[in-house]
Amino acid sequence: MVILELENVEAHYGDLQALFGISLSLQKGSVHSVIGANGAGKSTLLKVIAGSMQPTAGRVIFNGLDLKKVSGFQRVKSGISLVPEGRRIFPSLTVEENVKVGAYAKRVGYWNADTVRTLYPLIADRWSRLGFHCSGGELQMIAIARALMANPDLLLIDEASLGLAPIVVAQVYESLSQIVAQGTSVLLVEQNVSQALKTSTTASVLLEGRAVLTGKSDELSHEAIKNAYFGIGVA
Amino acid sequence: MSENLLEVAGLNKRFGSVIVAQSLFFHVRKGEALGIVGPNGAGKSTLLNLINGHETLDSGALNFDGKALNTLSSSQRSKLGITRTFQIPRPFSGMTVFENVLVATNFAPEKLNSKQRQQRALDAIERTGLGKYMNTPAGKLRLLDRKRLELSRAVATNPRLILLDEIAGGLTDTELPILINIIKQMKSEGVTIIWIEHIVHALVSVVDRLMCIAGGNVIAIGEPRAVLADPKVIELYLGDDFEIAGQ
Repeated sequence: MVILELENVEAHYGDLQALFGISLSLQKGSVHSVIGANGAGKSTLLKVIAGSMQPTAGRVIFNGLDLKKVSGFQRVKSGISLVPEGRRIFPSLTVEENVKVGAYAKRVGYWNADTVRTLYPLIADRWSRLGFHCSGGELQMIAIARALMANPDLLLIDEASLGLAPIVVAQVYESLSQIVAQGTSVLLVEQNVSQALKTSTTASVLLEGRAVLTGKSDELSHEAIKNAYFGIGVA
Repeated sequence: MSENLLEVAGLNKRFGSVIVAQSLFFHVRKGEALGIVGPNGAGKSTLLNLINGHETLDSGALNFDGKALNTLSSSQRSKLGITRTFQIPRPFSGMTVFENVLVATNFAPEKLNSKQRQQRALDAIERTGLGKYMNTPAGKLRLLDRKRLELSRAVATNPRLILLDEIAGGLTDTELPILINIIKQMKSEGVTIIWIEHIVHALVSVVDRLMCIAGGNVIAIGEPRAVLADPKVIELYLGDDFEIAGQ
């Protein structure tokens, strides 16, 4: 069953076109990774799905519903949560407050303050600490926990591993399998290609705003990914 | 006389704890086009800023045609023939294309009278294909034409070395070849080019050599496709254990 379908999505920043006819579909309960170099349009794609940016053409269909007139807030209520690049944690709020901010959509499900604390014991230990004093890895876990508090059907993660130590990257990725096990589908934007491919069921490579390669993660060849990533044949 | 136009020797620069250049050594030959790639935060734009004088070095030496640049200001370096374009074009939006380019002629190495400056501006505008927008306010130009204007302003300074900072970003499939042709034309006229770009196929279609930098270090430098195939570069872009079943 398809949970998310993009049909020929285009997006612009002023007269700068960032996405060109992107089409992809995500199966319920799966992880799809979107990889690509800087400026490829990965974050823009997530913004269009999350509703913080309107596409200039094409359709975003979530659970069979065309999201054209659905605001970002309503999309959260419908079951889409975004973990933004840079985490965007409130530095003057505690970890607990930051996490609970995500519950405002009042969607009922498995995830609550207790279950996210179990998922991420590290932030459970820092529950009363201010966001300002948290490490990069802790901030990423808080950001994911906050998104889970909305009990999303679809979790969008922008750069899960950026700037994190390898051991923290491993912890974050390990948690994704637990999140998927609870029925949440994941669309993952990553620059760490090998990590993304290991984690996802399917993957797309974006190049200059176009999806130039899409397939099952374990079937995409090393060669095809390199060539799609750089846009030229690489020996 | 050296065939190198620019020599970078032991360049160091840091912002607080962030190292953006760590004992960098490289050179650019006269008439050569050198492409630079690297991940976000690699220090690419800072490197251009150090070469054109927007930023000062912590240590090391920059020599341009045998002359030390370290103590020269941006405008003095422009007078020597070093110019740059910016990632986000920043024209004077209320001034026409012609007026924008005319301003740039003030920074040409040679002394020009008013008539010569006007002719230089007209030539630069024609060379980048902006002739029909001569009297259009820069703020009304579409993206490709703002980038052409950025190039026109650089060309109007009669540069020997032009530093291009992600000038191809955001262009459509039909616009990109137009920009590439302008840059190739400049190269064929003998202008030396250092070009930072994420659109690798555009870069590779122009440059003689490619340099990949990260964390303020040179990761690889040489023939473009060889650099892109370098295991260290692949690791940098695609991860340290990039192995996929089915290959």
